[in-house]
Amino acid sequence: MDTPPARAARSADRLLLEGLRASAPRAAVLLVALLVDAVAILLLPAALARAVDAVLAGRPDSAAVPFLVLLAVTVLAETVSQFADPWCTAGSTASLSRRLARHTLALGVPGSRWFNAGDLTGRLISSAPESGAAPSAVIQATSGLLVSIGGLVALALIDPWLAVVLLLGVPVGTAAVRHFVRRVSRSAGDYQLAQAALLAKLLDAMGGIRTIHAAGTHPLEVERVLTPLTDLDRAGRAIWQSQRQVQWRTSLLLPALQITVITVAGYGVGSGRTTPGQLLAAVGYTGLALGFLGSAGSLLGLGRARAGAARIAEVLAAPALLPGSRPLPAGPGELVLREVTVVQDGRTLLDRVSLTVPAGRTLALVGRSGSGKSTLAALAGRLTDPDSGQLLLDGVPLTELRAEELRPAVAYAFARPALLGATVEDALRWTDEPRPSAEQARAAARSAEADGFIRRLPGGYDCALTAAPMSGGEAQRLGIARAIAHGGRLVVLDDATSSLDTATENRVDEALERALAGCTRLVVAHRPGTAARADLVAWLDGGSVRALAPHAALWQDPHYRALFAPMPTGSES
Amino acid sequence: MTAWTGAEALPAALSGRLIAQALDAGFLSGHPLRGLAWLLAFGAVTVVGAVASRQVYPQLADVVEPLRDALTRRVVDATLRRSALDPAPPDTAALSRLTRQIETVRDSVAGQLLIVRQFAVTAVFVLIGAASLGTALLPLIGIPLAVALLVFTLTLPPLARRQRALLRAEEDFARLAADTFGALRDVVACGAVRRSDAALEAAIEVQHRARTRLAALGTVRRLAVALGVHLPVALILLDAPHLVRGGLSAGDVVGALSYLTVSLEPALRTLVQGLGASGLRLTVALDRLAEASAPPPTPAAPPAGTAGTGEPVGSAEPAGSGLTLERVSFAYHPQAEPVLADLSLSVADGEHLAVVGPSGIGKSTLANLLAGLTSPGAGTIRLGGAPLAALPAERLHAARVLIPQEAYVFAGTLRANLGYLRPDAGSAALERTADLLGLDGLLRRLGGLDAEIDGGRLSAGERQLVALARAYLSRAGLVVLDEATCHLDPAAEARVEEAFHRRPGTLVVIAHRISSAQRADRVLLMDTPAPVLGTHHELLAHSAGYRRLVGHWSTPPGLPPQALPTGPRGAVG
Repeated sequence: MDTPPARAARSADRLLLEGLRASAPRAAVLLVALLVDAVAILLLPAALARAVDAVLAGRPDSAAVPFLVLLAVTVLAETVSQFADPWCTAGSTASLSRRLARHTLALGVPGSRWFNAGDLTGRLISSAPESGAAPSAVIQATSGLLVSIGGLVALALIDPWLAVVLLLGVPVGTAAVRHFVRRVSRSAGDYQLAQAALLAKLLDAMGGIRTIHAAGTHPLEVERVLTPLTDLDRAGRAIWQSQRQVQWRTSLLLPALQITVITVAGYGVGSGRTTPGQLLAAVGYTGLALGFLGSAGSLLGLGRARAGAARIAEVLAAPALLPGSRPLPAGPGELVLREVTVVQDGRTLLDRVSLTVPAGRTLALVGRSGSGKSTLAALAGRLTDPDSGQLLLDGVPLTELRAEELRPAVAYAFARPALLGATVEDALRWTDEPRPSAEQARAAARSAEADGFIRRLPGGYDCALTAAPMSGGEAQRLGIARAIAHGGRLVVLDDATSSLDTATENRVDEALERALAGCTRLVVAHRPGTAARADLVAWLDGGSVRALAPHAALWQDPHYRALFAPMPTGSES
Repeated sequence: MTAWTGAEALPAALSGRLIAQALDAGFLSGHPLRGLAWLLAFGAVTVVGAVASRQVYPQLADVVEPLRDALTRRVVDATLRRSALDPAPPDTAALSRLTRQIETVRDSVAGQLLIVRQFAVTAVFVLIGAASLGTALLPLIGIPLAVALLVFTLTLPPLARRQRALLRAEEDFARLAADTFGALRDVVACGAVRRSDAALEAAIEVQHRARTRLAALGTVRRLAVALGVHLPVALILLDAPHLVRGGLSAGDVVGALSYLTVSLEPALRTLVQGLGASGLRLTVALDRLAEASAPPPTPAAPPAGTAGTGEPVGSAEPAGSGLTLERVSFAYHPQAEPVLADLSLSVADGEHLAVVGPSGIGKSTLANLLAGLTSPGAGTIRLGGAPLAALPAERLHAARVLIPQEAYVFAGTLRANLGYLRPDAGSAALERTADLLGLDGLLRRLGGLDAEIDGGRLSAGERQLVALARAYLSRAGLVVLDEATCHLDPAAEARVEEAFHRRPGTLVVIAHRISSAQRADRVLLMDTPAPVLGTHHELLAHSAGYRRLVGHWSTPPGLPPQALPTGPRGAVG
C-alpha cells in the first residue's frame, strides 16, 4: 500500500524528471560544458607537470602547448557553464511557475479552501525556484563527484601513497563540517525566534498606529519593538563563535593534507620516483580530490529541490474545476437545483436540496450561520461543485457549460470582496474580454452608491487601488458596482451589503432593483428588510430547505423571526 | 586587527618560497631531511595563519552586530513614522522582506569584509613572495592581475543594474501572486481567470528574462579569473627558459606557479564570486533599506492666510478644552470632492457632542481633524482658544486623546497598557477606572493588574475597554472616541459613555449606534448636502435625514412598510 509521504516523494521526483525533460536543451549545454571542463581540469595538472619538467630539463618549446590548450578549454567550458547553470535553472523555474500558476487558478474556490493564499504564493515564489534548480544541481553534483574521483585516481597513479594519505584525512574533515552544521542550526534557530518576536511587536504597533500617533508615544514604541535586539545580538554572536570554531578546524585540515601530500611527493622526488613537476601536479590533484567536500552544497540544493518539488506536486495533485464544452442557449436565467448535496470535512452542509430560482425573480436565502447559505450561493455560479446532484441554468447543467459562456452569465457580489485591478475604475471592470465600458462602470458605481466616495478619493476613478483608503462598507459598494457592471442573467449577492448602515443599504437595495431589473437574483440575507424585498424566501436549516414562501408569510413563525434577532454583543459582527 | 591580518597572510606569503626551498635545498639536492624541515616550517606557518584567522570573528561580530542593531532601529523608527501618515493597512509581507534585507546586509557585510580583506592580503603577499623568488616574475603576475581587477570592477555597475532589475521583477511577481491568489474566489466569480493567468505569465516571463540577462553578465567572473591567474601561469611557463637563464632555479619556478595556483587562484575566485553575488545583494538591500528608512515626506505647509494662523508653532497654550471650527474645509486631494466644506462649529468646554451620519461620509476624517492628526486644507480649529496648528506636539498630546475603532493593546502587563497615557497612575486609580468602565471582570479573570496580556488573546470588546480605560485615565481635557465602542454590547457601551459623560472635559463621540446620539448634549449629523447641528430632539423635529437614520437604527426588525411584490412560487423538492 502506498503511504502518502512515499507517494509525495515519488510525485516530487516525477515532477523533477518532467522539469529536467522540459529544460533538456539547456541542461544538455550545461552537462557538456561541465564534462569537458571535468576532463580538461583532470588533465591540467598532468600537463603542467610535463611542461614544468620539460622546461627544467631544458627542452621547452612545444611541451607547454598541451597545457596551454587545456587551460583555454577549461576557461571556455567554465565560462559556458557559468552562464548555463543559472540559465537552465531560470528556464525550468519559469516552466514550473507557469504550470503552478495556471493550475492554482484552475483550482478556484475549492483550492483556496485546501491551501491558503500565503501558502500558495510561497509555493510559487520560493518552491518553484528551489525545484527549478534541480537539473543544474544534479549535473553539478555529478560532475563534482567525477572530478573528485578522477583526482584521487590521478594521485594514485603518481604515487599510491598519496591517495592513501588523502583517504585517511577526509573523515576528519567531514566530521568537522558536520559538527559545524549542527551548532549553527541551533544558534540560527534562536536568532530566527528573536527576529520573529521583533517583527510581531512591530506589526502590533502598526495595528495601533492611530493610537500611537495620537498619543505621541512614538519613541516609547520604538524601544518596545526593539527589546528583542539583545537576544538577537546574543544569538548572532553565538553564530560567529561557531563559525570561528569550524574555521579553525577546516583551515588546518586542507593545508595539513596538502603538506602531507607534498612531503610524500617530496620524498618521491628525492628518491627519483617522482619529478618536481609531478609534485606540483599532486598538489593540484589534492585540491580536485577534496572538491567533493565543497560539492556538499549542491547535494544540499538537491535536497531542497526535492522538498520544493514535493510542495508543488501537492498543489498540482489537487483536482481542478474542469469546465464543460456546451454553449449556453439564450434564456431568462432560471436556476434549478436537483438533489444537491455538499459534504465538507465530514459535515453535510447541504443535504439533497432541490429548489428552483424562478427566472427574473429574487430569491432570498435565510438561515442561521452554518445553515448552508453561502455554500448554496457558491454553487449557483459554479464556484464549487456539489458532491452529488445537479444545478441547471436555463436547462443546461453548470458542469457542462464552457467557462467563457458561464462566467459572463453569472455575477457575484460578496460580503468581503477582494478588489483587483490597477485603479478603482479598472477594479469595476475586472473581467476577461469583452469588458464593460468605463461608462457602464461609472453608472454601476452610481447605482451602488459608490460614486460619491469614489469621487472624494485622490484622483477619483483613476485613484490607484492601493492608494484608496477604504472601509468595509465602501469596499462592499465597489463589489456591488463590479457585479452590476459585470451583468449577467443570474446575480448572486452573498451578504453583499452587511457592512452598510441600514440607510445606505436601503438606498443600494432600491438602486439594485432598478439596475438589475430582469435578472434572476439569489440573495443571502441577514436583515429582514432584504428578505422582505425578495419575491420568495428559502429558509435553510441544517442543510435543507425548511420553508419556501414570501417573507410576509414566514414572518408569522416566531422561529423565523428569531433568525433576525439582534446579537447580544458585537452588533456588527 | 592588522597584526593578526599579517600573521594570517603568512602561509600565502611563504608557501611558494618554502616549497621552492624544500625542493632546491632538500629533495632535489639529495637532502630529504632538510626538505622535510622546510615543509615542517611551512606547516608551522600554516598553524600561525589559522590561529590568526580565528581572531577575525569576534572583531567581525563587533562590526556587524551593532550595524544590524542600528539598521533595525532606523527601519522600525521610519516604518512607524510612515504608517502614522499613511492610512493604508500595514503591508506585512513588505515588513518581513525588510527584516530579511537587514539580514542580507549583515551577512553580506561580514562576507565582504572577510573576502576583500583576504584577497587584498593574499594578493600583496603573493606579489612580495614572488618578487623574492625573482623580480622578473613581478610584471608577469602583477600586470594581468591588475587588468583582471580593472575589467571586473568595470562590470560591477551593469551587474548591479541587472541584479536590481531581477529583484524588482521578483517583488512585482510576488505581489501579483499574493493579490491574485488572495482573491481566487473573486477572480473566478468575475470571470477574470484568463486575464489573471496572462498577468502572471507576463510577470514570470519578465522574471525569466531578468535572470537570463544576469546570468549572461555573470560569465565575466570566470573570465576575470582566467585573466588574473591563468594568464600569468601561461606567461611564466612560456617565459620559463628565459627565467631559468636569468637565474631562477627549478624550485623557484615550481614555487612561483604554486603561489599562483595554490594561493592566488582561490582568493581571486572567492573575490569575484563574492563581490559578484553577495556584494550586489548588499548594494540592492542597502538601497531598499535607505528607501524604507528615509524620513517620511513632511506634509506641505498650509498656504498662508488659510490654515496658517500667523502664530508661530510653540507659542500657544490652550485654556480649557472647548473646540471651535472656523470655516474648516478638507479634501484628500486637490481634485477630489471635499470631505468637509466650510464647516463652522463650536463645542463648549465640558460639552458632549455625538457625530452621526452614513458610512463613508467622513466622520473619521473629522475625528482626525479635531485631534490635530490631520490639518485642514482651509480654516482653523481651536482647542481652548489656541489654534491646533500652533500647539507644540507635547502640549497637543497632553490636551486631547483620540481612541480609534481599532484598539491598540500591546504585549505587556495590564498595568502598562492601562497606564499608557498616565504612567504615574497608582493601582487604586487604575482599579477604580476598571470598575467604572466594566473592566473589573477581565481584571479578575486575569488575576490583577500585573498579569501579562497579549492583544491577540483578548476579545475585540475587551481590547476596546482597555483602550477606553486608558483614555479615561489620561489628563487630557478633550476626548475623541471614533467608534471606539463598536465591539461592545449596547449595555456596556452605555456604561462607558455614561462614565465619559461624567468625566470632566469635552467629549466627542463618533457614534456607531443611535443610542450614542441620544446620550449626547448635541448631535452633529454629517449628511449631504451639508452637516446639521442640534440636540437629538431638535434634529428629530427638523431633519428628515436624521429621522431616517434613527428609524433605521432603532426600529425593531419587522415587516417593511412597503407592499410586498407577489412572485411566482418556487418548488420545494
